[in-house]
Amino acid sequence: MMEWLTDLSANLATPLGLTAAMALLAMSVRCLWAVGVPSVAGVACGALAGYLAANMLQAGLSVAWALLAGGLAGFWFGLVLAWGAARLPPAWQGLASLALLGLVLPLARLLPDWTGGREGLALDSTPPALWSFIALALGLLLAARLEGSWFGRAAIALRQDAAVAAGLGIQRPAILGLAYGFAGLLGGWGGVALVLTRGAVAPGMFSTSLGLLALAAALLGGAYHWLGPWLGAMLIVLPSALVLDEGSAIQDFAVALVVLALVIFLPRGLLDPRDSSRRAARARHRQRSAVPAMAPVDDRPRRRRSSGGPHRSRLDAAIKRRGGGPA
Amino acid sequence: MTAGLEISGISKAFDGERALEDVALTVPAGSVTGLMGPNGSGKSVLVDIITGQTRPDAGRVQLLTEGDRQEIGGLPAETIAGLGVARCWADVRLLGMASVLDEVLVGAYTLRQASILGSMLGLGAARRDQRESLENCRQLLNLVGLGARTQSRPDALSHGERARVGIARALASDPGLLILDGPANGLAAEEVALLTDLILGLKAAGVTVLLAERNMKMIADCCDSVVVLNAGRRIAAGSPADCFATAAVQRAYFGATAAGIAAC
Ligand SMILES: Nc1ncnc2c1ncn2[C@@H]1O[C@H](COP(=O)(O)OP(=O)(O)OP(=O)(O)O)[C@@H](O)[C@H]1O
Ligand SMILES: [Mg+2]
Repeated sequence: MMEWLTDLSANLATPLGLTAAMALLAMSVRCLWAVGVPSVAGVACGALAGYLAANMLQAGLSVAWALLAGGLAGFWFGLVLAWGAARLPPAWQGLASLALLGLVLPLARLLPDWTGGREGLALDSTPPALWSFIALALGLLLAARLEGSWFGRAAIALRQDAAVAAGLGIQRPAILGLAYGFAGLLGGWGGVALVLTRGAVAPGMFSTSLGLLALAAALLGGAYHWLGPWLGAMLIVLPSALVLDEGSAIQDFAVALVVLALVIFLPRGLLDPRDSSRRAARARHRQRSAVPAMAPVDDRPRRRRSSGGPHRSRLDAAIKRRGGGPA
Repeated sequence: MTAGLEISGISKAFDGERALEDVALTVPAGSVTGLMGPNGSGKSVLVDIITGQTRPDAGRVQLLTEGDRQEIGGLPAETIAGLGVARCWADVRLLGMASVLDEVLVGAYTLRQASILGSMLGLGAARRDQRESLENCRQLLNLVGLGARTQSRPDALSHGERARVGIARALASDPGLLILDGPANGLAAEEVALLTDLILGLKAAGVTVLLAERNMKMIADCCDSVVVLNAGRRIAAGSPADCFATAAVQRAYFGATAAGIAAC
């Protein structure tokens, strides 16, 4: 029994590690999608981070350092890319990111000292899959935190209506820059996780089909919840990693087909928390007949609970005053 | 910090078509000032110019804060918003957020204190910031009568409710000057009355309001003074009652003066 369990975990380690790496890359895609940019720039950051990590590990540094450096390098490269992309409309940023991924292979061959050229770099030993899961956990934590922060809301505003966003004081360059930075960070961790799982880095690893795979996972999961990319990666990458050989024609074909089908039939992806409430809203709408009235005046709070901070407002007085009598 | 506004000599043309010509307008701090005029008279263009969405061809837009006078004409919209000028849109333009509360929270962007690193790491300051803006936005939703709908989907609301979410969003930045563009557009009479009540409440709280609106009753009920535009020109200014009594305003609105109508 124990033996069977050990076998199973050994067999699952690689597929699950790959899934974690792909989930991170998909999260990097979603991060830019959040500001309305359909781009795989995060995967290019993953390539940089992957090569950096492989070099560090070969030099005998620990995996933790490789993850840290990979994330930081991804973040930095994301910022550099944002600087170049800021002038471009979103669709062109997407095209530019594809061109960028196309650069990885020739660049790797041009810099053999650092990249190992055509053969790439092999690690002396494959680190435990746990490291990929740690990277994934960090990525999910980051995504969840950002989602509820002012950055997450500003990103949505920018995607939905740039004029309204500007009217709310949201600076497009700052938010776009941060989105690229975080996409680079997540992509960087994804690239490192990929290298850790494979035990090697090779120029073909960070190809446009990897970008497409990340895009497919992000699209399938949906852009509306931070768990979406992870769900997408679980559904697309895990089954194919369990059943198929890496980079098989069937996998590439299936992934391309999935992207096509998703874009056409399920553009919002699987995980859209707004769907259920939307259905409920439609039902409510049918029931409602008259113009809804304002909430009763007595519902208004008499006193603000927090007194300090930047959100103190002149309205306090009005709320108090209006709390007393009918409108 | 409540703010006033002084506009002079504003002109704007689109492809040679005049939208505004030599328009002047003063909004004293703490007042509710009306900007009135029939369809296509240029109210929204003027609002866009004040908020930086459109650049004027000529003229000055000055923001007055505590004895300070700052030229804001031609500044980027996000800079003007950062100076405490908030607006609502005639077509509301909510942002497809997950909940009504989120729609209002995004309005507090200029008040954010937490750094992005603090938000990432969930530091105490960031959490406090988040708590305070949540609390403030809930209060604002209460104020606009939507306290019970904080978790609703914005697209599940009626048009009037959405318009009030738009106002709460603008208020979330604690603006010195609030500009409402056509808030009564498409609203039933009872909802216009609710809105009037809300604006009077804001005035009592010391918020400066510029109300760009066609609805004469709402202007009469809310405003201390009013500027009337027609075809991009200022045709009257003064108290609502005085303006309504002028022949030019009656012609612009009804195609005839009151005396002429009575004679028919
Ligand atoms: N971006 C634009 N390009 C060209 N013309 C424009 C533009 N914006 C406004 N206009 C024109 O400027 C004039 C004034 O329009 P504006 O929207 O300001 O009217 P309004 O007073 O707000 O009307 P309403 O009461 O219907 O809101 C109109 O003739 C309109 O067609
Ligand atoms: Mg208008």
